[in-house]
Amino acid sequence: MENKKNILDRFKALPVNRYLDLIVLVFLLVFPLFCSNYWVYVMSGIIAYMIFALSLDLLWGYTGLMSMGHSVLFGAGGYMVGISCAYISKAGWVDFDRLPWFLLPLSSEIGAFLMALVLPALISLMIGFFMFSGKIKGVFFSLITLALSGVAELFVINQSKYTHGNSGISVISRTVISNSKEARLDDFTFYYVVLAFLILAYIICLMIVNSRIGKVLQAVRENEERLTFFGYKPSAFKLLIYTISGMIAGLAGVLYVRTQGNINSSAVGITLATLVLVWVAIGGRGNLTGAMVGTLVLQIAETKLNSVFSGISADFTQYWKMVLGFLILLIVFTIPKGIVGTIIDVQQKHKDRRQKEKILLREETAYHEESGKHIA
Amino acid sequence: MKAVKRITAMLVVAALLVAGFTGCGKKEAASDTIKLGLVFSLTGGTAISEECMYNSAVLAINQINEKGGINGKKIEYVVKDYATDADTAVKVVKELIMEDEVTAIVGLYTSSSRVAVEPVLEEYEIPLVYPTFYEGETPNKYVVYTGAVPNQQGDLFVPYLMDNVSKNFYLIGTDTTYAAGINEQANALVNELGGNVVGNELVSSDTTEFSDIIAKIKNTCGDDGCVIYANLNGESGTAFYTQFAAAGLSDKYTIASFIMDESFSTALGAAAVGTYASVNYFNSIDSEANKTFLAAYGKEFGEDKAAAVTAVGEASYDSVYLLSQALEKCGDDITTENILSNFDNLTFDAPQGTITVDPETHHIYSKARIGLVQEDGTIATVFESDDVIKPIPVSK
Repeated sequence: MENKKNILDRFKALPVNRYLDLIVLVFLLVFPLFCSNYWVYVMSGIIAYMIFALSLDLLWGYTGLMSMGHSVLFGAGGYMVGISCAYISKAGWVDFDRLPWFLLPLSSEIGAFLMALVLPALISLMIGFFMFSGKIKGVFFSLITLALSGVAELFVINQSKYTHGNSGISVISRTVISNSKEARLDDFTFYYVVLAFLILAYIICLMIVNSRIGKVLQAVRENEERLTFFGYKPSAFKLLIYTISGMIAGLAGVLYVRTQGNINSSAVGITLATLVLVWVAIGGRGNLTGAMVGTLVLQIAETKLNSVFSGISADFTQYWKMVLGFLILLIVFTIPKGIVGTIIDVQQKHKDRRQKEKILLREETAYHEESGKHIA
Repeated sequence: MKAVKRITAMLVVAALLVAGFTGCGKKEAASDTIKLGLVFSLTGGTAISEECMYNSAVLAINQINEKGGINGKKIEYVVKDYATDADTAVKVVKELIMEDEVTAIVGLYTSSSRVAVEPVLEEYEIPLVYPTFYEGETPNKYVVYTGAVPNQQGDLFVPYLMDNVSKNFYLIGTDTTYAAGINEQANALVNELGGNVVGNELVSSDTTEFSDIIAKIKNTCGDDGCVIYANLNGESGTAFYTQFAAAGLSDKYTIASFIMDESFSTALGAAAVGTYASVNYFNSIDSEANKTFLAAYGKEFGEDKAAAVTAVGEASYDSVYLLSQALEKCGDDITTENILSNFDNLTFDAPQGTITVDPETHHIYSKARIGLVQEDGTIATVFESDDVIKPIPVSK
């Protein structure tokens, strides 16, 4: 009985955003039951983006490393699948018989999937190693990663022998590993596969941030120097989280590419890198929920606005982006902490006030008792 | 605290539900019309080029509807904006197919969006008419291409320049499949015809600083005169033309480019005057068909816009007409299979002259034209091939 109450208490003590997580989960679970195939497909893509946003939140929200080139890791994962698919299915533009040695795992389907997780991790490990051991931080970290995504976009376009340059690569859609048309799942089933990956990624992220490592990461964000004095090595922790974040971004890349059925240079570029920052910022960073809610809200809004505006009148279509931009500005100006960040803030304020009232009340009674004694 | 939790939770649920579920049901389609999808970038980097494509397509649809439609059925069209983004292109094309249930799609400009959309067309078996000149590829079964491919632009361009300008060529291109392919083709052709390639350079697509290349041109070309064969993308192209003119080289050397068209020449102003262009359509073509087309366009969208109609705009106009002919031949039996096979050998008296669809590749036979940019930004045709040229989308 007491045990039961304990669990209930612990459940009640959870921050409000964990309830939001649950609501988002339920929403995503029932969504396909009410919507057309097209929306199920759109939502699969959005879920892949949510995984991507989660990976950035680990890095930016929890560790304070604002990566402006996170798309590089997303795209690296996607391109592994893309190149592998083109090579195995002998796409028309492929004029190489053999892959270079470092891409050899791509000749098998499972190898490609693993490479899509390993390569982004390796990239972030390498870049992270140089940056963190070189004590690069703050805005310089952001600038270097920004440059990185610009460079990566050009690199991909210029390596057209393997990446098909500007045109991008077509991939068999709606499978996870296989590259054959027969293995294609329908929109409905594939949606739940992607959702399962989101839940997995979410649980991993939650475990990390609630572990002791997670606490150290937040300490890195708050005050790196003090942490050093305590005998910690911040660079090691930063490197670890950057690598994990890279791997999750790579996974998101694979799922997105499998939803869309193609990959092109914009997947590694600055535009996507900026977009994901906006999603996380709008949702609220440093609580996982914000990243997911932000992505969900903005992506749905984007799709809806485009479709609604072109439905009204063709001349009207071009204004959908303006409305979206206005919406984003409005949110940033009115609630700079993001949607979820503000909700948590409100809850915290409420809690504080209660606490204060409680303390005041206790003090008051104590004072009365004291003064009572004096009188006596 | 509980109350706050409950209220916020309810608010968020409500917001998500409203956002997620409103209007995600299917849209109703009327049966006495034929529904076409138009996909163009009305926003994004290539919106300037695609505005006239969109207008031309709408113009053609309106004209067909005024004449009574296709076999008595009016054309209904749905417009989608793909914002110069291949991922968005996939999304909106899927929306056109799955939600709006269109019969066929006209549009797209960038190669990446075309490549991205092809698997979708294959899966749902919907035809696309693609109205842009492009680098050429193994033809896709579901795509009909109404723009020129490199062999229809370059094969006569290089010999013309050698005869009329100079035998020395300096090749510059953006390092993309398209431009690199064109320059390679030019390189081979110049050597074959006994000319000189004095320089061959590929630059990355974001290059906007050309002082070193301009210095190189000065040094290598000397006083002999030279053709600067420059196939540079958007921003990069603008920068090159401007810096080239500013360096005072326009009098000695002549730029020739595939990428030059009316929208580009008007934007550049004086820097573009006296340079050569090669496409299958120029705004200035002196024919009845072209005059009627431009007059109708001007009436609908304004005279100043009519002056900015480019080859891709004209090709979009042709695309809709060719598609309507193919649909008309289907009668009541409108299936993708029928539409596609009806495109074989289809001809149309387009503003650029009579064009024919090649049954093997579903590209069009068209004339090659070479133009010289005039003081007022228009491009005058200085050469026109006698006959239409067979499209060869893939060179072996």
